[in-house]
Amino acid sequence: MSDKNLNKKSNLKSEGLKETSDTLLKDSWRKLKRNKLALVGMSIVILFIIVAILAPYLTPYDPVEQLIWTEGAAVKLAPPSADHLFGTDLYGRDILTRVIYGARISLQISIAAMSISVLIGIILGTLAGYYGGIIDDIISWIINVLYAFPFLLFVIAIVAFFPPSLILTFSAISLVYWMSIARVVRGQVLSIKEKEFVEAARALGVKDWKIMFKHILPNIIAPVIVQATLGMGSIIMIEASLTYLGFGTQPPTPSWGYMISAGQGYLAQGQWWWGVFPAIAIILTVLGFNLFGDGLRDALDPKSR
Amino acid sequence: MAEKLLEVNNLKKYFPVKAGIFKKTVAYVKAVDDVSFFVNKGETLGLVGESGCGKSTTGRTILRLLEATAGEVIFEGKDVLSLNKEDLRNIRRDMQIIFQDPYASLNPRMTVADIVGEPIDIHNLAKNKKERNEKVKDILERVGLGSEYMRRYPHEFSGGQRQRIGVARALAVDPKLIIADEPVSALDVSIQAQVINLLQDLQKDFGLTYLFIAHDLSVVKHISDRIAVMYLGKIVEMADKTELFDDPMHPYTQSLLSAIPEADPTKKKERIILEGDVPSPVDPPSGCRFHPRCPKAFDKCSVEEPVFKDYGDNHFAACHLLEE
Amino acid sequence: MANKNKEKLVDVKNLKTYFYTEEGVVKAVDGIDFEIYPGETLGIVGESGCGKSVTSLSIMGLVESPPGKIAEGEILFEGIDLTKLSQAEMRKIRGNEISMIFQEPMTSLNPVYTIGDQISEAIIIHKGLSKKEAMKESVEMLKKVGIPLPEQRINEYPHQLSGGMRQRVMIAMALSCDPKLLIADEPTTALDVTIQAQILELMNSLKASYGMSIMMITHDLGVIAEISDRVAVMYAGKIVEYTDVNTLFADPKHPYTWGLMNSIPKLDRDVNRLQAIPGIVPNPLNFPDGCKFNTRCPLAEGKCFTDEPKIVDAAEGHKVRCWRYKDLEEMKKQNVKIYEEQR
Repeated sequence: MSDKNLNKKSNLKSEGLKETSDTLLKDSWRKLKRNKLALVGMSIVILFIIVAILAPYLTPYDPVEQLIWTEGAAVKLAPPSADHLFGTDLYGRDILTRVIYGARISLQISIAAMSISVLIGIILGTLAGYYGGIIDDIISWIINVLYAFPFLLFVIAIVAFFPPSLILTFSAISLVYWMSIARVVRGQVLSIKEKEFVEAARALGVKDWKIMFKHILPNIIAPVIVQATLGMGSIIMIEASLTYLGFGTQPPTPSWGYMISAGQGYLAQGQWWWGVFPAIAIILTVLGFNLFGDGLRDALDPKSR
Repeated sequence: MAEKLLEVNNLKKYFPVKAGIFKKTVAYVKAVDDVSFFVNKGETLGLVGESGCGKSTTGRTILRLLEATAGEVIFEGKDVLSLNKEDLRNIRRDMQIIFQDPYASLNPRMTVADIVGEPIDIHNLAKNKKERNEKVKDILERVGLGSEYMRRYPHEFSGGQRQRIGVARALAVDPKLIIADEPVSALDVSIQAQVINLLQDLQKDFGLTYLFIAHDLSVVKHISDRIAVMYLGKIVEMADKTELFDDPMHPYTQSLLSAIPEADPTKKKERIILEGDVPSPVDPPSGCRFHPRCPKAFDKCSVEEPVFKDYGDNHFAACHLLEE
Repeated sequence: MANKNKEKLVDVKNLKTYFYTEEGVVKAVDGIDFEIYPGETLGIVGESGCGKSVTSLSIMGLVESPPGKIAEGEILFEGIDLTKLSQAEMRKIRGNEISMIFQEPMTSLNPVYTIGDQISEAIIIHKGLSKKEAMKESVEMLKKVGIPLPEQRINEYPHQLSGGMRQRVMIAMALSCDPKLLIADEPTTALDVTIQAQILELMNSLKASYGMSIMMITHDLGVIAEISDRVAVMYAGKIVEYTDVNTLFADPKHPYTWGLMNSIPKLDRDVNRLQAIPGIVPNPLNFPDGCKFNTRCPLAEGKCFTDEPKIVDAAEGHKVRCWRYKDLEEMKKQNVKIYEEQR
C-alpha cells in the first residue's frame, strides 16, 4: 500500500507540470514561423544587416572615389551592365556599391537613433507610468507638445541650427522619436504595476527602483521590441528624407536619401537607375522592418495562439 | 487573556473620484469607512463580505500597499501608518500577504527560486548564495513543492501549485501575520481543500496569525477562530465563529448565512432573500448603510447610524434593533 | 420531477468533442451519454477542464471550429440530431428552442445598445413582432425576471446595471422566445452570495412557470443541490457518476464524487481538517492509461491503471464509472477516511 502510494506520488509530481516547458522565446518563434509575411520581413532585415556588415567584401568598387577623372567619361551615368549591375552615377561611381554602403549608413544611424530613443523612452515612460501624479503629468505633457510639432520640420529646425554631422542626425531623430517608445512603455507599466506580483514585491519591501527594473521592465520588453522594430522603418525613412532635403548625411558619404535627391533630376532624361535603385532599397528595408515588426507583435502576444 | 497582535482603530480609506479637465475631486469612494477590529496572536480572523464591501482594501491598507485616509493600525505596539520608509521595510518582515489570483501574483519572468529567494535577499536573511538556496529549498518543501522545481517559471505550474509558491514567498521572511486575500477563491474545489489544509498546517508549525479575507462563508467558517462581517465599508458584526453562526445578531449576517447554497439537497432552508443590490460606496445610504435592503428596517435606521459595540463575550454588532 | 416514461427532450449519445491543436488532440468531451426530460433540471458538475462547458457548447452548436470538432456521437433534440444540422438550421433552433446564459453577463451584452434594444431584437427575430410590440413584450419579460421599474430599465445601457441585474436581463433575453431548454453555464459564479440566492430562486420559479428544462453547468455542489433534479458528475471529459440529486448526495459511489463532497467545508459540521483530493487534474494532452482518475484516487490499484472502466448501473438509475465502487461502499460503511490526511 505505502509502496504503491509512493509510486503514485512521484507520478503525481511529473503529472503536475505541463509537459511542454515552452519558454516565451520558443513559443514566439513557433508562432512567428507560421507567419509567412513575417518570415519574409525577417529575411529582408537579416539580409540588410548582413549586407551592411559585409559591404567591403561584397563589391570591388569604392563607394566614394570618383572614377570619372581617371577612367574617362565612358563610365559616367552608365546604364546597368555586367560590370555595374545598377549602373553608375554622374561621377562614375558604381551605384550598387553605393546602395550597399548606404545600407551601412542607414543601419548605423537608425540603430544609434533607436537605441537612444529606447533608452530615453524606457526611462521616462517607466517613471511616468510607475509614479503617476505630477511626474506623469509633466512627462505626458512634454510628449503631447512634442507630438503636436510637425515631426520633420522639428528635426530640420534642429539640424539646420548646427553644422551637419552623423551624430547630429541621429541625435535629432531620437529627440523626436523617443516619445513613441515612451508612450508604449508608460501604457505597459500602468497595466503591469497593477498586477499582484508588483504589490507582492512592495509588500516584501522591495525598493522602488528594483521593482521597476526587476519586476516591471522584463515584462514590458516584448512590446518595446515590437515598437522598436516597427520604428526602425520610420527612422530609416526619416533619415532618408532629411538627407534628401540636404539636412542629413552629407556627400560624398553614400546615402540612399542623397542618391535619390541627386538622381531625381536625371529620371526624366532616362537615366533612371541613379534614383530608382536606392529608392527600391529604402522601400524594401522599411517594408521588411514593418512586416517583421507586425509578425513579432503577434508572436510575442501570449494571448494569440 | 489573549494577546493582541494587530489592532485596527477607526481605519478609513477613501478613494477620490476625479472629473473634468482639471481633475478636481468631485466625490469619494468610501471603500473603508471607520473600521475597527483586532487580531489575537496565533488566531485566524476571517473577514467576510460581498464584492465591493472593502475587505480587500482593508487588508491592503493595513500593509500600507494603500495609504490610509485616517485611523490607526497598531502592530505589536507600533503604529504602522506612521512608520518611515526604513521602519516600514523592516516591519514587512513581520506582515505578509497572499493574493487571490495565482496567475497575476507571480512574476512570469522570474524563476521559482528567485521569487521565493527575493524576500530572503532583501532582508539579508541568508549569509551567502548557498544558504539562500538551502532556505528556498526548505520553504518549498514546507509548502509541498519539491526543490526540483526551483529553476522553473510560474507558467509551468497549475493554479494550486502557483498558490503554494505564493505562500512560500510570504513565508520566506518568517512573518508573524499573514493577510490572506481570497487565497482559495480562484482555485478548483478539490484544490481549495489542499491549500486550506496547507495554510492550517503552516499556522500550527510556525505559530502564524492570519487575517483571512474571503467571500465564501463556509471556507471562512472552517478556517477562522473569529469572524468579522463587512458591508459597504463597515464592519457590521464581529464574533467568535460558533457564536456568529449560531446566533447572528445583524440582519445582514442573518441573510448572508441563509443565502449560502448548501451541498445537501434534503435541506431546504428558510431563505432570507435580500431585495436589490449593494448600493454605491460613493454615495452610501444615510443612517445604517444596510437599511434600504434590510427586512427589519424601521424609521430610525435611515436617520441615525448604529454604533458598533460589544453585546457581551466579544460579540460586536452595529444595529438599532439590538439596542431596544 | 423527471418522469422516465416521458419523451426525452435531449438525448446525448456517445458524444465526443475533440480539439485538434498543434500539441495534439485534446479530448475535451470523450464519449458521454445523458438525457434531459421535459421540465427537469439536469446539473452537470465538475472542475475546470472537465469538459462541462464544451458539452453545452456542443449542444448549442457553438464549438469553435477549427480547432474544435464533434468527432463522434449524436445529440438528439426532440428526435432530431443536432450534429447533422446546417449552420442555418442550427441558428433557428438556437434562441428559439434552446437558449443559453453565461457566467459573465457583461461580455454577453452589447455595450452600445440599450437593454430594450437587445431584448426586443431577440423577440423580433424569433417571434416576428413589430418593434413597438417587441418593446412592450420586453417590458413584460423584465417584469417577469424581477427587474424593478422595467419601463425605465429598457432605455438603459448594460454598464448602468449591476451584475445581478445584468444576469436577469440575460435570463429575460433567453426566455423571451419560450425555449424548451435553457442551458445555464455557471450563471451565478460571478455573483455575490446574496445575489446568487436571488438568481437561483428566480430560475427555480421560472422553470415552474415556463415548464422548460434546464441544463445547469457549475463547479459548485451547493448550487447543484439547490437546483438540480438529476446530476452528472464529470471528470476529464467523461461522466463518472450520473443519478438523481438526492441519491448522489446521500450515496456517492464514485471516489471522485465522494472526495469532492468531503473536500468542501460544511456549515453545519466542524472538522479539524478537510479531506483533500491529492494532486491535480491530469493534462488533457497526456491522460493516464486506465481510469483517468487513477493519478488521484486513493483506491486505485491494478486494473485501474490499465483498463478504463465502463459506466455501469450500480443501482437502479445510478450509473457510476469505477472498477472499485463496491469497495468504496464497504469502506464508507466502516467509516474509513479514504482520503487520508496527507501533508
